[in-house]
Amino acid sequence: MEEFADAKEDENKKIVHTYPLVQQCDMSEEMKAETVEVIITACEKFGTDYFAAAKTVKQMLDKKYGPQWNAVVGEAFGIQITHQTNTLMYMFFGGNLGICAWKI
Amino acid sequence: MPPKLDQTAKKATRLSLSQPGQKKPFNKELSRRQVKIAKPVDDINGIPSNESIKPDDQLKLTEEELDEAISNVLQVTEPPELTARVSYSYRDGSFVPYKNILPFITLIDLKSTLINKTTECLTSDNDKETELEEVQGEIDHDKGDIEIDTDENVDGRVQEEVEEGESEGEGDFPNEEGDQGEGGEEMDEEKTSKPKATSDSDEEAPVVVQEDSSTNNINSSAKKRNAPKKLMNQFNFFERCALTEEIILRDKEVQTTPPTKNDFCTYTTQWIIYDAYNEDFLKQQEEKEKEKRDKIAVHASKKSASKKKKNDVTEDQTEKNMLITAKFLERIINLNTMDAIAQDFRYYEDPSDQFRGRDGTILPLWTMTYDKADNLYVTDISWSPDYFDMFAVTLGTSQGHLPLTDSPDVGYVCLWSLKNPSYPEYINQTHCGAMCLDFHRNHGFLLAVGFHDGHLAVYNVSLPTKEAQYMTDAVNTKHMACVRQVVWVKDLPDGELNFYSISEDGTVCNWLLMQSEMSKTIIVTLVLDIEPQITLGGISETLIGRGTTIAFHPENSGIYLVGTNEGYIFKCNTQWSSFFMQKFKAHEMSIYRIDYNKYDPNIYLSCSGDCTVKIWEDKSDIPLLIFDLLWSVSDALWSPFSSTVFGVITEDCDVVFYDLDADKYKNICCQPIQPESQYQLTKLAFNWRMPVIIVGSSKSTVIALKMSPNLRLIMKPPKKGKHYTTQMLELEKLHKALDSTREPDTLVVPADDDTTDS
Repeated sequence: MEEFADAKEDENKKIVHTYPLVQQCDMSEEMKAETVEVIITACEKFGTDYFAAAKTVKQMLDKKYGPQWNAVVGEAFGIQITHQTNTLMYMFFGGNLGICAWKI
Repeated sequence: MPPKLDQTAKKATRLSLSQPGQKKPFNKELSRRQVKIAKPVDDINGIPSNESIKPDDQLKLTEEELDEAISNVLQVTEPPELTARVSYSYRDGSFVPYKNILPFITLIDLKSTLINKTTECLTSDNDKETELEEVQGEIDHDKGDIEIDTDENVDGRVQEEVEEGESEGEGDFPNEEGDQGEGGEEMDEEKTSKPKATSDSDEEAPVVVQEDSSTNNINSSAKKRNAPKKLMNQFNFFERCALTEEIILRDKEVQTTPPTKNDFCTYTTQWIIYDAYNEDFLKQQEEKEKEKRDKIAVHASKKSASKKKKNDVTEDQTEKNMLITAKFLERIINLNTMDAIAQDFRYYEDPSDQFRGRDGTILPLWTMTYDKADNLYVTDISWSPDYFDMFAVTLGTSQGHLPLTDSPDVGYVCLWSLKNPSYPEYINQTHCGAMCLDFHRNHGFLLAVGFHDGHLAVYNVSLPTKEAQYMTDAVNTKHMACVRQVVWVKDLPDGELNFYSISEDGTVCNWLLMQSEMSKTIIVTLVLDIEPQITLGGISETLIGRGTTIAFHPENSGIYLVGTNEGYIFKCNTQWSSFFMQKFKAHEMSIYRIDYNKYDPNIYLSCSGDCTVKIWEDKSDIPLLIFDLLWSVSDALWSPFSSTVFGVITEDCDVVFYDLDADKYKNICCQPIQPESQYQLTKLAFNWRMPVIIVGSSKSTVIALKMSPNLRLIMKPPKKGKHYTTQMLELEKLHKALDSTREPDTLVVPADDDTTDS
């Protein structure tokens, strides 16, 4: 009986979450919503081609909020950056992707 | 006239100012510029001017000659340069090619001493110019002629040749041209000798006349002259306010504040992402549950109200914590200030007891008063079963008090601790005088309280709330008169708590604590089998004894004794309520206490308002001993330490101890506590562990007293011989003391004595 309960718990734990999860963001609400949308669009469009996704994110953000945006898309990375205030977005998406976009 | 031909590019200078009329005379001459222009034109010009003025040497021409048409062709091209021109060289004695590039020949060069007002030499000295303009204004006309003369001369010399198109602009330009010429000169001058200023200008003027300057010079000088400047000196007055400041252009650099920047550093791995998602998921679920709960709460408004109550309780919690701290502080302060008493309480043993035989003393320790209720009686005292230094008292009206006259409508239940004699640990104000109380033996926090108006309540003193856990119903269940004593008894087999109460309405009731209420069972009604003294309308009423005290048999919980206000003692059994096991008249007045001996349940004592304490043996209605204290006895209790010792308090504030073993006729200790005028003593209670008694008074004062060693002598088991327990020895002591008083027919005991003796 206990084993059964454990198994059930495990099942519950193995749910894969794919929704966008904003980890850190100092943007205004409006900007944040748009940035998230941009990132989702790019990541969904290019699938595993993270380079293209990052490029698209960068270009679209450049277009929207002025130049010199940077974007990182990847499954595992470490970054240390200096960014303009109110332009940082660090989020997870798709359950295995970390995305960071910021403006210099 | 070769010079005339060469003159094509040359421009007129001074002539510019000359009027047409003045020009006329020159027109006659062939050497004029107008020579190039067709003669008829000349004539036409001449007609309007002055035809009469004719030089003497003018050629006289016939009309035919005059009419003869002389054609003149205007050409766009410059006259052809004379390439093959030669001049005779006297030195060489032959003709040499003439190499002068200039298309004119200087015939004569004269220096003039006159200045034209508009000449450029003035403009060069900018300041002077304006001044001169005015001054020379008059001279202009006079000079005009002179100048013209000079010009004429110059012209004559220079032999200008001007095209027809230029002739019209002649009036405008000459000035400029002349200026240019001179400007050129001036330029050179300035370049060579700048220090030369106004004074030189006059001298320069003649030089200016020379018109050999190149066209380039002319152009540059013309530009220069466009911005004349006044020289500052004594002749030139400058109004300061008219001076405009020169605008100086400067380069200025400005830096904007850079956008604020932040540092951010992180690293991402699969497991970090996974954890973050899990955490967030849990949070979301919690929020969902919260929303659900909120919905439920909104749905049931009653529940939300209850929640609020809970919040209030939590707020009280902090307050409670603070109060606890304050209580600690108070207690420590009290312990410090009353350190001597505390030491006595624990360690003082009266050394004088050794020399006093069997007599003993009592040592007053603390006096505790609840100031708020200092006019109330201490109606009952009960030691806590859990803490030996804590006891509860009830404060109410006196026992014989009639409720309708002037009874105060308040009573208190107070818990005192010996550690803090200045203020009660627990205070509960009740709706009327509290008359009696009892701690539950196993649940030390449950307190049964009886009230003056017949109500009963059970309090839980461990809860912050002061409300009674159980309270009797005013209509159905409560007693009809003052409750005099409550006693917890053993729990029922199914664990239900129950207690007995005795009231002045003559009933003994058993109270069972149910889930939410107390169920009442009337155990017995104390009917007095005596002739009614009063008959109302021929109907005789049965008299009912007003119960005042109840005592349960220590070993057989079904048997109990009841004392009444009329002095009767009833021996009853909980099983049969229809009859009494024993009923006899014990006292003449109200019985205040019946107490079983702590060692022998067959022996009990009773005290009464008729100033006597009687010791009884079970199944006998003749007392074994009678002690007359000459004052109304409020309370009497067997000592828990010795089987033969009991304490008595009287209304005149005496505490009296008797030891049957020592002396059956005289007390071993009689000590006044207070002057009787102040108050009377009402209740007595022995501590079950320490040699301390508590005495309550009519002024809500509680006095703690310490018994000296003589008052609690305990039979010690002998070290040699047969082994006897303290219990057995105490029993023996008691019986030995009582033997002599027993009636002969009850002398069954001697056998026991023999055994013990042996």
